[in-house]
Order: sequence, then structure tokens, then C-alpha cells
Amino acid sequence: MSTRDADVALPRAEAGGTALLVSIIALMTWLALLALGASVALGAIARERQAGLAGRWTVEIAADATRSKPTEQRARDAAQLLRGVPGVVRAEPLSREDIRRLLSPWLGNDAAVEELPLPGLVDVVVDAQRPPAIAELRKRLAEIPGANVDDHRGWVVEIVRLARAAEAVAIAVFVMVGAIAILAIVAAARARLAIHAHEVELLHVIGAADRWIARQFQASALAVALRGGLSGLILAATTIGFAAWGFQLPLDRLLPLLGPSWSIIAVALAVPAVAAVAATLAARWASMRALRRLP
Amino acid sequence: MVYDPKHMIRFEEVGFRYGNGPEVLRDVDLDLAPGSFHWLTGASGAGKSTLLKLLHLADHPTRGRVEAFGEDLSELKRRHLPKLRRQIGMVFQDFRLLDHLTVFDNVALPLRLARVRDSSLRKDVGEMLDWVGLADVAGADPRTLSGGQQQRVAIARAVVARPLLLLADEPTGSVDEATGTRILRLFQELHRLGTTVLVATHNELLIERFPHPVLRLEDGQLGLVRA
Repeated sequence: MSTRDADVALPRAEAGGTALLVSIIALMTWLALLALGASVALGAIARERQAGLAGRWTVEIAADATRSKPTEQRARDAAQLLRGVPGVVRAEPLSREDIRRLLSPWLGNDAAVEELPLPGLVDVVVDAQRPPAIAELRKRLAEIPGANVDDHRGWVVEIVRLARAAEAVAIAVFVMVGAIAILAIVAAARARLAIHAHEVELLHVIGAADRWIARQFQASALAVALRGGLSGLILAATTIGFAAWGFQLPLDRLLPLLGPSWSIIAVALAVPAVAAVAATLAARWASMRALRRLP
Repeated sequence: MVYDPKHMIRFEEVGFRYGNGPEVLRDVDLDLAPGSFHWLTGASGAGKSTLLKLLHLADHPTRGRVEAFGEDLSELKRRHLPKLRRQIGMVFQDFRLLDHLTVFDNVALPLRLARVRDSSLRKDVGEMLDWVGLADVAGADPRTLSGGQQQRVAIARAVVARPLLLLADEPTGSVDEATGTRILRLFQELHRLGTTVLVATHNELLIERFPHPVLRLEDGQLGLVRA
């Protein structure tokens, strides 16, 4: 006879309206999670690129048959020369096989590649704290014909800048999506207030405090946001899984960059939880605002 | 609640208008003593429902002074009003039952607002439904009940929290004579138990049968026609 539902003095939200709102919240959560995931991943990749290439320089030896010494010999000479420079930790010439492997994505693995003149490369590890002056290094390498040193700074800076810009856009999308979801909840709370004006007025005149009536709307918004948020979470996890499979993303390498697995789970669960709290607060704000207009 | 026992509700030169319209209540002076029973009569449109609205604190007068349970409404903060409203039971002319709740839960509503514990609430609501003769339909949807039964549910809801003041707007308007008499007997019983009662009605027969003071509203002005 008396049920726990009886604590809900307003009718449960209309089935059609609820389904629509749950779908909107689910899609918003999905978008927010993808934006958040993209932002965190881009930030992590930028950091990795920055850290991975800090202290790694490359000396390129131009392939040129007219030089007095063959390319491999000049690469060995360059490595020998660099090893004596203060701040250089290691300098190793790459074998022809290594260079061919590096170029294979562009040149393929045909036998004809054997005939192509390949440049020589020297992998240089420098002391990241006290690297040698690049101008000094260039001066010393001047005695090796066709040698040129690259500290990668130029393109690393570009990539990091691009990653940071994409990260900022992703965060902006996340914030916008959150704002739209809150507006949707506020609109739904207002619509419910309008639909149930008769019941609200009755509760008001028989002595229900504004907070008591507002709690009815909060409870409904919380239930809708939790359902929508969890559906969005499942949808986002499925999307990322399909994207990783379809585009062959190296998730096993990318995921550890984002932090320990528990922190990823915590962040993923936090989004629907934040959506639920935001929805509750938005419904409370909208209903209290309307109720204060009553005498 | 501490208030001057001589005055449960007191109106002094109260006026009320809807928006910029004409005054529907003018210079109303009213003093409801605790434990009194009054009839309120008047032609349709005389302002009975408006007066009841002000009496159950659902609106503020546009002029004049209203004192309820010792509190001057013009000085009372809005957040304190619900507590005063819970001291008043109101039987609406159109019942205003909540269709999505059972009969039991409709009657239980004022107790839930007063945060009465579930065990006590079940007992009180059960007794109240017994008293109005509706114990057997406690789990029913109010829409399935007859007009008389719905009216009794509305009465049970109005009195379940033992209000100090009971107001009723045409409680016998949509029921047959026998049910009307039965409803009035319930009010008489509440009055005997100490509840202050004010009933708005057109029913002269009931007014004759139950000889209590009669207040009459004419052109928005209130007068005592039978002491």
C-alpha cells in the first residue's frame, strides 16, 4: 500500500520525455568522454615526444658519390669525431640495413633500393642537462664533407604546439558539452515544473517547503543523469575499442602514457558522476528559482 | 507553536485584488477564535474562495494586516510560511487529490511533509481512513472512487496531521445530501475535539441543521449574519 515510491510526491517523469533526456545525456557524456580522452592522450603523446627526443640528435651525411670518401666511412669518421666532444654521451653510425629499414615506409623493400644512394646517419645521445653547443658541433663537423647535425628541436616544437592546440580544443569541446547537458537538464526541470504546476501548487499550499519540492525534481534529474551518464560511458568505451581495432591504434603503448589503469577508470567514472551531480544541482537551481516566485 | 489563544487568525482591513483588477475583498475584518466553528456564505463570485486562499496563507493580501497563530504575516520571512501552513488543513472544492498516488499515500502526504516516522504514519493514516470509512480502498487509485469518496479522502488528508484550523470550500457541493450530512458530522466531531473549523458553503439546509455563527461575503465585504 505505502511504497517507497510514495516519497515521490510528483509523478515520475513522463516515459517519452525521460527517454529523450537520457539519450541526450548519454550522447553528451559520450562526446565529453571522447573529448576528454583525446585531450589526455594528446597531452601524453606531446610529453612523450618531448621527453623521448630531448637529448637525441642526428647527424646526417649526404650521399654523394663525388666525395673523396664513401658515405659509410664519413659516418664512421663523424661518430669518431663526436665522441671526443664534451657533452656527447654516445655517437653511433647506423648500419645501411638500419637506414634501409627506416626508409622502407617510403621506398619499399625492393631489390632496386639497393642501387639507390642512401644517406649516412649517426645517432647521437647528448647529456640532456649539459648538451654541447650545436654551433660548436657544426663547426667541428665541417671537416666531414656533407655532414649536417639536427637536434630535432624545430619539428618537435611544431608537433608539441599542434598537440597542445588540439588538447585545448578538446578541453573546450568537453566544457561546451557539459554546458549543453546542464542547459538540457535545466530545460527539462522547467518543463516538468510547468507540466506539474498543479501538483507543485498543491504541495506548496499544504506546507511543503521549497527544498522538499525541489528534491523531487533533483531526484528525477539524478536518476536521468545517472542512466544517461552510464550509457554514455559504455558507448564511449565501445567507440574507443572499435577505433583502436579499426585503426590499429597501439592501445597497449598509448594507455600506459595516460597513467596507471586505475586512474583511467577513475577519470572515466568521474564524468558520469560529475554529470549526475551537475544535473542534480541544475534541477535544484531551476526548481528553487521557480518555487521562489510562489507566495 | 505559541500564539495568543484569543486569536487563531485575525484579519484587519484586509483588501485583495488580482493583478490590476478591482478589489475582490474590501476592508475585511475577521477574528477566528480557537475552537470556533463558522459558516462562510455568499453568492458565487462574492470572494469566498479568495478569502479561503488568504486564510490558508496561499497568498498575501494587497492591503491590510493578517495575523496567523500569533505571527504577523507582513513581518514573517517566506521560509517560515510552510510551518504555519502545516497547521491548517484545507479541503478544496475540487478535492485536488494526486492521481499518481494511492488513497493511502494522498492521505499520508501532510505527515510526510511533517517528517512523521513511517510506523507512526501508517497507524495515523489507517485510523484516519477508518474514520472516514475508506479503509477498504486505501490502495486504490483516487480516480476510481466516487465524488463522495474522493471528498472524504480530501477531508482525511486535511485533518490527518491534526491541524489547528480546518478550512473547507464547498465540501458538500458535489455529493448527495446523505454524504453531505455525513461529512458535516465529521467536521462536528473534529470541532468537538478542539479543531477550529470554517466551512464555505451555499447549502442553507446544512447551515440550518448545524447552528454555528455565519459569516457572509457580499461584494467583497464580510459581515456576521448569525452570531
